[in-house]
Amino acid sequence: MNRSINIKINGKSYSDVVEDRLLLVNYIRDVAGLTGTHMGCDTGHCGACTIVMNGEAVKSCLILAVQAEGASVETVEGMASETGLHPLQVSFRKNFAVQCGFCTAGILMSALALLRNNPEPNSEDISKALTGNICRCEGYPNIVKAIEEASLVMKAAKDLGREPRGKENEKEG
Amino acid sequence: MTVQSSQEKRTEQTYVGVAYPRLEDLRLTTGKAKFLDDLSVPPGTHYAVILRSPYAHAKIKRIDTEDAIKVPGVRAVLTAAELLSVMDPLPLALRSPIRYYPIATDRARYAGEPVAVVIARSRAIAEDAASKVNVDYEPLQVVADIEKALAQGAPKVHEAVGSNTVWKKTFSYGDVGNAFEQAAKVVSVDVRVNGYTVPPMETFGVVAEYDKGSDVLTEWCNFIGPFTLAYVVAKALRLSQDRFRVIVPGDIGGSFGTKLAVYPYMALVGACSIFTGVPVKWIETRMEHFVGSTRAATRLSHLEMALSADGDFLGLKARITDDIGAYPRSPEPGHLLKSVSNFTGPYKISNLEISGEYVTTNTLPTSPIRAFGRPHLCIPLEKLVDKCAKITGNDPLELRRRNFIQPRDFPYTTASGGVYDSGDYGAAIEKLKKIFDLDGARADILEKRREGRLVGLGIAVGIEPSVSNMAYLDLAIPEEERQKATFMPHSGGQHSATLKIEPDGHIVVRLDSCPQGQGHETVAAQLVASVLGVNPEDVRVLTGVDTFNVSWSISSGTYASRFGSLGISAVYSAALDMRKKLAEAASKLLGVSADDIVMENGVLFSKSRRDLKISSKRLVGTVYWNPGSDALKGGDHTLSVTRTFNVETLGPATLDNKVNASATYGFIGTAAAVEVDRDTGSVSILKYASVHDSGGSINPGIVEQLCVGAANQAASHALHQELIHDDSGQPLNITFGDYYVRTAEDFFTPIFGSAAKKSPFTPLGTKGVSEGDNMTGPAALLIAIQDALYEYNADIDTVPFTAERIWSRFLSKNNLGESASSRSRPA
Repeated sequence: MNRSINIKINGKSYSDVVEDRLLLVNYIRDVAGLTGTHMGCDTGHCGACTIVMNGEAVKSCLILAVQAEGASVETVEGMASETGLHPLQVSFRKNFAVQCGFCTAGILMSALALLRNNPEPNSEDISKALTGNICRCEGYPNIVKAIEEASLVMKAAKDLGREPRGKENEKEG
Repeated sequence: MTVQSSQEKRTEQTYVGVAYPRLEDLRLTTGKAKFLDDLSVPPGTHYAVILRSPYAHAKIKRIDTEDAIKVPGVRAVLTAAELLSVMDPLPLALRSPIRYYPIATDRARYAGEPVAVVIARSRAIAEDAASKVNVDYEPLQVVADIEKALAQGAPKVHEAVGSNTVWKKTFSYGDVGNAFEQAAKVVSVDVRVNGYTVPPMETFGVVAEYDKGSDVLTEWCNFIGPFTLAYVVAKALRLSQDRFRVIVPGDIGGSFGTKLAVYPYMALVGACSIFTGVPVKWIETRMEHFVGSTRAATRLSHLEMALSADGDFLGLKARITDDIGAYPRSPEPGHLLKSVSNFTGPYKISNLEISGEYVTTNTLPTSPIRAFGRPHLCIPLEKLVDKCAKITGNDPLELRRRNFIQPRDFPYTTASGGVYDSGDYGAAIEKLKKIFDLDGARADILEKRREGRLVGLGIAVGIEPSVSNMAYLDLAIPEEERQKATFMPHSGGQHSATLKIEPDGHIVVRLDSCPQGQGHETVAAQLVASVLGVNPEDVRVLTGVDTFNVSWSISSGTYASRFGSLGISAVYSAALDMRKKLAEAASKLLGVSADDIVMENGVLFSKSRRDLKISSKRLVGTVYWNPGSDALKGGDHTLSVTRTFNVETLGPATLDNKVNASATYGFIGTAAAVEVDRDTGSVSILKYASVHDSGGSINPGIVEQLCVGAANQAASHALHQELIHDDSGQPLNITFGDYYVRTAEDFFTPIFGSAAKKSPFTPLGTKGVSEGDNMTGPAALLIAIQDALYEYNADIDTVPFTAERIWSRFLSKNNLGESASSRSRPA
């Protein structure tokens, strides 16, 4: 059966008629055309499809698109603003936390949700928040360090009352 | 992005050795990268769902596709009956009557073997229809293990072969008989390495479009090479090379060797497109990946070392039995042959005998997994060396040092023909001791032991080869055949790079590599920027291969750590050539000799008369827009350079079976301290350090991130990873929930050190790096765990050494209340 849905993704409204069985991840990738969100398994283990939905990190392969009716969804494509990259994006690059990059979007989403709920996490908090994300390049030490450092950058910027944004073409390490 | 750099003066080497942030990350952190499943597909693309055999061994009596084909949106349901009309078997590296197709013909030989392909308008429709295909199977007796496959009267995986042994061969170098006669002591070990895999995040995928008009089959796929296998696919699809175009995207979501095995699916999906006439897309599911992609071989090894009274290694004998699954597909028997050149590792052993036997079973076929076959070799070899030290009463490091190839011996030719380029293994070991704080670690272990804790320490060393000289596979062919005049020997492992300066001055580099996270774009940009005096951001690097548009060879691709040695050399050589070309053109325009030209900050000028100068932008413009000018006419000033780099030592195999399988040979030493939990047998890594000889790195940040991953993967493999099946050959762990994969909750941070000895074979001295920990890591952990379990006299003989195995083999007896003295020897 088909149903009509309305979803907000990265602040933009989408209205479509979709099959009941369509997964949210397939909606995001195939209908909305946002291919930064990936699928790495079909069982909910890998977390490559993690998005932020109504403020929570959610695996978009484990819910149907129709269940996201009325929801506000954030994907990796929405992280950078006009003023620049998100500090997490800058920090991942700076700390060599990206290898193949297939898991990166999902991990960034989990980290984004974490830092909103807990702006000053320690490395244990970060590890816990990433339990649902697999990085098969096994670059975890760099990833945890990158998130920790981004949280410090964000805190410092907040203390100074500035927006913590990097430049789009951040060059320096 | 022009030769006219926006930044201040840069001189050569500025970016060499700098942990420059990766250029790839700008798209990978923003969701703008394009992996295979993200690419636009041709109009009219249909989706393939593969129906796979639920039986490990069964006769296929009948396939009823009638109900499936009736599902609206289904274009075709294809079985071997249809596809064999457009396809021949995939050629094998070894001589065998086995016919290997990417789809089962009359028999399914492993659970997961493709049996039918449903082609439909959408993937969902194809899945619906696949459930309506009815296959009538007659289950046959299964052999799922080496031991069963070799037993008398065992059911045969391939009747045509006559037994389950598909290849058997003994290689002898030096005088092994004499070495063992002279030996004061002979020490032996046995190790079983179970089948495992290092699954990447992104699964396999192929989009195939057969175009009737041009009679060309184009395939977009996340295949990593070597492109010898693209040739194999073309052969199977009855296509000449000019009618088979392979396009590999620049972004691949990990591989660890596995994506070499995309090639049978390139044949299968390609055949589907040729047969149906529509473009066909197939993206593997995770469960399909576990049952149908690939794995490393299961190996039984028995190694014997002949020792002199002083502890010199006089000779090494090895009996290797590899289970390579249901089909001996190319590049098998590479699990063994790839390591023949460096079988003796960093040790001077001039007498060597290797007996190899290859066995088929009703399990998933094998192919290279990160550090192809070398975990299989390094684990028993280092266990053996450690045992030799114990038996002779030597310190394990001193015994190793005594038998190491010495710095003065390089370039060193091994007994089996490997040509090692450079190294100072003793110095590397000293560095390892320092960064690991060996004395401190030993004291810490004694302290913890006094508290009754099961802690131990292990050190393992190894050779890290880079590049794959195809010649090694010729060892699979009988000598009599190789002697014939008609035989075409194989050799080489070249890498190409094309460097072009566009008419507007933009610099473009085209590699023939298929990186999966190795940061080739950044490394190539650093090199070119350094030579041409610009910024890395000013250099656009294109990776991935398009066989219609890239200077590629049968060696192209990214595997066997080949970029660090040959790839870097090709890029660097091309950049030097380009600088020369620019200098020549400038010398003509300025009327001075080319030797007099210097390039700095986007300006070329005369050293002797600094007022004679031209901006590189104007120079490039003149070459493109005014080549007929008096100064330039008649000359070749095209600003495009292709350099193919090869190493001279990569020759064909000799008739006495000597071969040099790799271009450079790095060194790695790994130390690990572990604690075993007495109640559960689980192992914690207290400390882990490795020293690598990569010959020096262009981007140490990239090298380190790769090695961090390799070390963690090594521990995942050693302690957890194996593909488990039951007696009927049914795979049991086929999700990320059942097959162990590490998460952010249990990683460790390795300590790394560098002991670089430049290679004389590459212009910058670089070697390959980042597969080393995958071999020495498990070996060091095994030795450390044996040390932790010293009171049990533990002999760990199965990899992975899971908590369950350690507990049931050693610790459970303790729980039964046996005294320490009576639990001296495990079962």
